[in-house]
Amino acid sequence: MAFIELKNVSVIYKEGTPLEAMALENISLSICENEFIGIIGSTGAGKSTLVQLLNGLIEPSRGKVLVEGTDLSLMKGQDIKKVRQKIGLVFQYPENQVFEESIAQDIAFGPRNLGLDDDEIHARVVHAMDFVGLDYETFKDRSPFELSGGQIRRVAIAGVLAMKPQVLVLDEPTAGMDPRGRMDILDGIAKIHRDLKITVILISHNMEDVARLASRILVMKDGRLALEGSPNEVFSTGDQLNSLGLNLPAITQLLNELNRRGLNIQTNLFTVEGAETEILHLIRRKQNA
Amino acid sequence: MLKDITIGQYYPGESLIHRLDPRIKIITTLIYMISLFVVNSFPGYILVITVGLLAILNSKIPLGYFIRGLKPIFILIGITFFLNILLTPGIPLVKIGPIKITEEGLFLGIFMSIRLAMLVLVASLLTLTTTPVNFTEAIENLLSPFKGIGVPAHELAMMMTIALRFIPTLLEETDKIIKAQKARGADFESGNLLKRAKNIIPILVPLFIGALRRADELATAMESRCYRGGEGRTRMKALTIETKDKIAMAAAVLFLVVTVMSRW
Amino acid sequence: MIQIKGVTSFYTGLDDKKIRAVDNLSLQIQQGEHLSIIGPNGSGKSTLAKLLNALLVPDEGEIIVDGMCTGDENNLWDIRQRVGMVFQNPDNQIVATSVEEDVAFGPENLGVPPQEILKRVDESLDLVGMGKFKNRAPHTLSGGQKQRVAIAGVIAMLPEYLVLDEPTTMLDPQGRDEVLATVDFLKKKGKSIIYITHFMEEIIPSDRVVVMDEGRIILEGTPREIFENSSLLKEVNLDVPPIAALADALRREGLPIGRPLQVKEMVSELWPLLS
Repeated sequence: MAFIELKNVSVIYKEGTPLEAMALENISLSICENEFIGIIGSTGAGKSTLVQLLNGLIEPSRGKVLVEGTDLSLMKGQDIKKVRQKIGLVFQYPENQVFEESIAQDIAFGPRNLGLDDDEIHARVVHAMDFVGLDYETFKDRSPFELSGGQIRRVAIAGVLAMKPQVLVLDEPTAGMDPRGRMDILDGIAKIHRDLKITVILISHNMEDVARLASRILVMKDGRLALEGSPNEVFSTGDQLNSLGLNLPAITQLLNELNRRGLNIQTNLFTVEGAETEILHLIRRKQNA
Repeated sequence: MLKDITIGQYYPGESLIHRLDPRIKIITTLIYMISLFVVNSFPGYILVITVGLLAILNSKIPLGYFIRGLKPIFILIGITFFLNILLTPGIPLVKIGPIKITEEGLFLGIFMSIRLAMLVLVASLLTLTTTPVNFTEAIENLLSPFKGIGVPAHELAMMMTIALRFIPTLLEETDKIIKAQKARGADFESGNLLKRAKNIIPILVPLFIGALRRADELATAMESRCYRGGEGRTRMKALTIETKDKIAMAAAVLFLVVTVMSRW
Repeated sequence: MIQIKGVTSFYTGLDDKKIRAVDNLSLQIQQGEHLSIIGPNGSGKSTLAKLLNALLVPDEGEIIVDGMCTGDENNLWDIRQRVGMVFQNPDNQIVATSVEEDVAFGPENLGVPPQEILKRVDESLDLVGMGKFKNRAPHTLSGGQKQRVAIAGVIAMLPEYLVLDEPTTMLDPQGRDEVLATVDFLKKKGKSIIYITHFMEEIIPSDRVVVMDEGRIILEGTPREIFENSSLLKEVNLDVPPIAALADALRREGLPIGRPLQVKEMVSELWPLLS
């Protein structure tokens, strides 16, 4: 059974007013356990709206959202809270949501809201900090407001991990970071997926990042699910992606261009290493011929 | 709830009310508000209400906007209504135990409610038909004669501009923070008053820190664009008084005279 | 010309420790030049930007903008008019409640006559392609549009130099393209551009690149020359754009490949070898 299921979901903002806007239109989707899903699409395509549906922060105007087979719209306060524990959501620019005096306290906010006892909370905070690479003793008493951009994002991720979610959703976790900070966060996310065996849903503008990490990609456009498949499948649609207002990774563009010129070359690659192997392979074959 | 407040929002249009000079609009609105509290006779009320409604109709703004603007003060109007009904002495109409409803009370209740409602409606009309730019400039302009006695006209107007500029941004941010904390299991709906008050700390702290950071960055940006107070500053668009503004002003004065006279 | 002569600038970190954000740095920026300054977070590039228009004054050394020293209070407003700044966060630099009023803000501060302001506002907005949005409220614009309004606001002050401090960091790819196209257009109009970023792809169109780390310049040259030093760039945690990285990798395998930066260039490098 799918862990999360969306059935013909539409979200309409300010319905019935002159400002009515369709944010999502007739989306059907299932998300299974231990998947790594990448969501791409330009601003306003509905990516953020989509992920906020999953834990009941936004209610669908039409259709149903099912988590473990239960319709979210039929749930009461405590049950919704449970869903929010199961589906952890890290918002964009999460540094704007920390508020406690110390890092350990801020990470404990989620577990405390779940009504856990102090020992359990402590254990979870220690574990979550360790997991995102923040040494507990060094950082626990520091103010979150004196951290670097990368560190404070890790605090935010740890705060959600400490709730022990089964699905971790991250809305553009690397927005505004420099290359090093970006790599650190993405490596951390890959590790979470690998070691904790939980489903990860990653929203990103960066094609290369999504392609490298995700096993399935959802491409959104104007509130609709425009394209869906493995990175290979999605990137082999080249022109279609372009028409959705998304740029292919530079490497894929290069291979596509060579292909268009009549070269029999694989075009569904997106990493420097992949392209290197493919090009060397072609050159060797030519030399041998 | 926050979204229901219409005071401070601009609704674009080309009506006569829209095109009036903002200074005239502010003064005539004040005159109207004064006359609302001057009238005490039945014909006086009819006159004041008719003029107010005509102005609202002239603006061609959907009535829904005005009604939404009234929503936040419905309770206040209700309380005013009942207090007046119950506490005004006079000829009793109905008597249920110790509760006594008088004829005077009923009228006073209705009129006080209408006064409050009209007050909010014309305030909404003023802001709905005036761009924030014009509004703040009019305030600066109207206050500038009092600079001599220490009224910081320019600074007040600049503060208003920045406030109006950032209200939508901060509302959006508040919404985001609430959602982010909800995602971490925060509960803003249940518990007693004290608990609820405590629960908003996770919203207020990030909001406050965010606002401070914005203020700091904005100050730097303003400084780098050579802002150094009102001294030596020019304005791109100067406000001008036209014939229609003079007529509106004269009409407003006449209106005030009539309402004052209607008391006798 | 902007002359930066042996400038050091401190900031106070945690525990009141004095930290060198910019460390004995010297650099000359010519009029009409498109200079990129790239470096990881904390390399001192934003401090350098603020030093250029006297938002900060050097603790040691001096900066001369067209003959005026930034340390002299009397030059403050002339320097700020000459060196326009665009910042990272598009939201926090728009002051007014409408697009045209915001663009007018700078000229108004300078005491420019109203007729002239009207003209400058229209011209600046057209230059960044935002003429149609003149009467819009800033919060209804996209990030890229806000950033273009911010650029127009600076252009309307008729600066000699335009300093852009990570103008695309908070934007989505579309917004980034918009800003880059605008910068490119302004360059063609003859404006001097000082472009600060941590995205390697964005330095490609510049004439000269300065790589900063820990407050110092560690590398200087044309974009192509910079990308040749991929190992040094990686050391300071900067990326090499994928095409340059691929060319680098293939070259190491012994293939005769030059220094392409863009897909098109790479195609013409590879075509003779593959077809």
